[in-house]
Amino acid sequence: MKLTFWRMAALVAAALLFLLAACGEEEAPGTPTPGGGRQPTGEPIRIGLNIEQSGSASVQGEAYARAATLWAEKVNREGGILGRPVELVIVDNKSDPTEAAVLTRRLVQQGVVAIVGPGTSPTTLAAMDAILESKVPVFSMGSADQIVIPVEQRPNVFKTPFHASQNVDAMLVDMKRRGIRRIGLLTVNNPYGESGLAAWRAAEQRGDVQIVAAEKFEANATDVTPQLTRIMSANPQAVVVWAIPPGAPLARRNAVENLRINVPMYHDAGAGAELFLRLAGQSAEGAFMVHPKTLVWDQVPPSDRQYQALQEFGRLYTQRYGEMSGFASYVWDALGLLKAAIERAGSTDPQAITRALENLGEYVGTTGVYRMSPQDHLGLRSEDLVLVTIQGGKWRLVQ
Amino acid sequence: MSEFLQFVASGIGQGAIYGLVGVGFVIVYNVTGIINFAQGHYLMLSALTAVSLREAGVPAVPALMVGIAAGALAGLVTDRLVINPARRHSILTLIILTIGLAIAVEGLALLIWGVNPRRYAPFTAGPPLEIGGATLSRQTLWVLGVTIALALALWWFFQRTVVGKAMQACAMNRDAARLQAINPAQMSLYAFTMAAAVAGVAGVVLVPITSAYYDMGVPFGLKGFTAAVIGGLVSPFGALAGGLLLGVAEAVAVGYVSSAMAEGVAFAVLALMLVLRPEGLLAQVRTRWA
Amino acid sequence: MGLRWWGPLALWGGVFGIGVLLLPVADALPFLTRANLVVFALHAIAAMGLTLVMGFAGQVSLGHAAFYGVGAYTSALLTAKVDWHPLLAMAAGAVIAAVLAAMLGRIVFRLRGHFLAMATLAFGLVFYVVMRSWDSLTGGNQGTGGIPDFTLGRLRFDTDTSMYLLAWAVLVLGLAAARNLLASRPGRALVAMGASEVAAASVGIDVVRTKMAVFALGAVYASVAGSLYAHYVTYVSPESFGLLPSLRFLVISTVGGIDSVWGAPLGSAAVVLLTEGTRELVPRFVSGATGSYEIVAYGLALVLVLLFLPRGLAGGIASLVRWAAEWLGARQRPAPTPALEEVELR
Repeated sequence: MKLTFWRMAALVAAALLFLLAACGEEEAPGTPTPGGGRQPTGEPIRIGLNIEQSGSASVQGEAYARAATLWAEKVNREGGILGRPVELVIVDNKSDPTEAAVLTRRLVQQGVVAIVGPGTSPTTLAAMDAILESKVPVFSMGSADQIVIPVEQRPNVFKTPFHASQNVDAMLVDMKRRGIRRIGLLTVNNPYGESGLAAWRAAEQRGDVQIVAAEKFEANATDVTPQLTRIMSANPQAVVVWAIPPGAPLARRNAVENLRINVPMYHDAGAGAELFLRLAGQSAEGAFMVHPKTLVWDQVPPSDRQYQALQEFGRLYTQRYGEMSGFASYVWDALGLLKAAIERAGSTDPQAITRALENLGEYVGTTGVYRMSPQDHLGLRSEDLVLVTIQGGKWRLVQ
Repeated sequence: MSEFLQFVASGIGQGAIYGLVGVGFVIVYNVTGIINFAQGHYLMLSALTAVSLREAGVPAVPALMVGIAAGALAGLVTDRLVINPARRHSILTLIILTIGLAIAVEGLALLIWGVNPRRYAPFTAGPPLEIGGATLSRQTLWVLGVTIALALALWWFFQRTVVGKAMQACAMNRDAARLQAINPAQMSLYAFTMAAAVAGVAGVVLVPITSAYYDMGVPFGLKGFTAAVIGGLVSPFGALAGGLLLGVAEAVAVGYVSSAMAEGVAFAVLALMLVLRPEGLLAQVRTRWA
Repeated sequence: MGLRWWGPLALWGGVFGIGVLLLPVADALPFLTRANLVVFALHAIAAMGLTLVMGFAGQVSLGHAAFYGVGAYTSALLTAKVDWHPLLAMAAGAVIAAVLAAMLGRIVFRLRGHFLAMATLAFGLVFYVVMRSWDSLTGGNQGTGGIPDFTLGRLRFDTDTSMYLLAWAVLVLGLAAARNLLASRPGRALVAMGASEVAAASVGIDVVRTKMAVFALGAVYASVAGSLYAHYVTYVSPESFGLLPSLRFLVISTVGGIDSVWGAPLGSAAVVLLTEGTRELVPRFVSGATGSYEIVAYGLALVLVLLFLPRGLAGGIASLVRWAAEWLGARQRPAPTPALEEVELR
């Protein structure tokens, strides 16, 4: 008797939830109902996060973890996925390639329907075998092209950050406008810098640019004036720095404070958003950076297609953490894409999610507008990148 | 020529820091026979403590002093909690104990301060100084000044004070020192604390040049250790000289060899030193500390 | 005749059986997977090489991961780029590692005590820099991928389970070889040397040559483990062979105990259990906990083990067995000497 009563109650609750969900859908997209009101029920959907919370890539890992936590809270507040709550399983691979591989297998064993991470190229490539065997859709935040290319050999691997070559293309657009052809290149001596260097070498092969000096520095360097001195002696028209913090802001400070270099300096999207401002201080003024629009989320006009997505993400992230990170949007979008794909597929079957991702059509994310397909597991175009500069301690969009 | 001067100017700034960390290795090694792998971590603790205090609004001088004290305290705790209870174990076990300690300290720093690097403003603001076409930042001058002052203080300590002489006696012959009623456990305590304090000083003068973050201990420990070995691992002044040499060698290697291999150059120098002149570059002074 | 062979065969067969039994154990524990077992076995093999070097030749190596890297890169390059058979590539790696170690040993064994440790440290770091910089050979920072699965005849080791059984079999072989070696004439020379170099030299043992041989043997263990690692992960990059991995092998050997061949497997198991255990348990007590808690726990555990068990886990277990034996013996004479004790000690 009692049991039947509870069953009835559950049915009524489910019906109510369904109604509420239907109502929720009629509301304008992008204006989330505060506090929600419809509680997700049922067995949670488990999504794994295999990220670098400590070790050499921990600056990235922290932003990943923050974005993921924030996203899960938001989605569960708004009714979950398919009415079911989302449960994130966040594990720290310590930036260690072997651990990243082992943790991929472990997450699959724990029954996750998809994995976000690893978040760097070497950890992703080391985990590749485990990823391919796992058969679940995996989103990497690594920059290397070969994470998703050739796509026939990467059936279940996707990524959210732009390829290094797309960052280079975006920089080249601005350089052409300024008549810059001779550049000096300063890259961090790790896989991140290496991917930038390779992309620039390819651009040089195409005849788009002339690299008059290319120097490297260690990720934990405390002084890069010797490298910059070498670069400047080759007389470049601009200096490109390809690195993440603390290397990127250090290079900027050495260039401005110690060597008073007065040619334009370009940084890639890894340079670190607010962290770059904090560490470079006054010296940051006038630096250029190619970046997804997340950095200037509050300056993007309402006419922009990404306006809604950027407003929501930018507001939530800066309210919670007080600042923006250049890396956070990659995880935010990966999770968003997964949610859209699960809803499209109507199931949490890994194969169905993978198929849905490939046939999602356009997905307006915060990093850019994704058009994933069976041939393209990234689906971003370099036009979605913007050039920003720093004026009065604030990011400004360069038109 | 001005390019070469720039490499040297950059190199001595870095080298002074390597040297200060190296001094800590030498002091501990001489008195106890232990290579303390946590040596670079005291630098990190001091740097991060000073930065946090400054961010919290504490005036500069007390913030720096407390920062250095935090490093020294960590050295003291190392000796009392880890080294002293294990005094009767083999030296190898003691060395590996310091590795375990270094891992734990780094994890603690990650817990307290998080992963993001922090910045500390230079002690004196202003444009860099120009010397013959090369520039030298004001903070580098601070680093060099503090290094020279510390070197003089160390010389005075080891030459003129009873405790300093006792530590030197330990370095020469631990058993003989014990016969002279010098307590090795106490000397070890002094050595660890002092070594950590010197690394702490290096940490706080270094932060304005770069930034402070939780895993900066290992790279600085490694460079400091290399500096100490170049100096023969017997004399603090050898370590300072070794540090300067290493710093300049690295900067010049960037300039004239390859920036990708610069770090390799440093370690190749270490390997060559060990093979060709294990007694260090300053062999003549090996039995005396000055 | 028959008896002489049955004893060891039963012993090592039994040890192999224990390894097989670990499979259901890992399945039953919520925080372990079979992939953890593979890593456990690979690290144990490499660390056993270090145990030989440290415990039986009294030498410290801070660059052991370089030999692990020699095996991994040799296998990676020879099987992925020029299509060698994995077994042949593994053998090539072992030979290169042995030759490198012997050459290094020839140079550095003139040095005493800590200078040797430093020289191996420098060697390890130089190896790391070379792997990162020699783009055309190693792929530089980007690493080398496309490494095929390990095969033996028609057997293909492409799953966690098969890879673990292979690695465990190699580990058992390594254990058996190490124990037989120690019982042999050169082995006893080794032990004598660990006790006193001067004494060993005075009874006609060529100290430097013996040390070099042990160092080379230790490098072979690491190299074989590295080869298996390359085939398991199918991608190698310099990160896996730098200073931190060298320290990890040092930790495994020391925690396990350097004066017993059983130390390396014990230490490796302890490290895996500790890492995965804290990963599982800490978030239950501290919400929002990240990997930093694991790191603290890992470091503290290392300190505590060394403080209270200076001879490592193997030494601790041996003492326990001896203590239990004495306690039993005091109660009922004549004292039965447990067979286990003989196994545990050397």
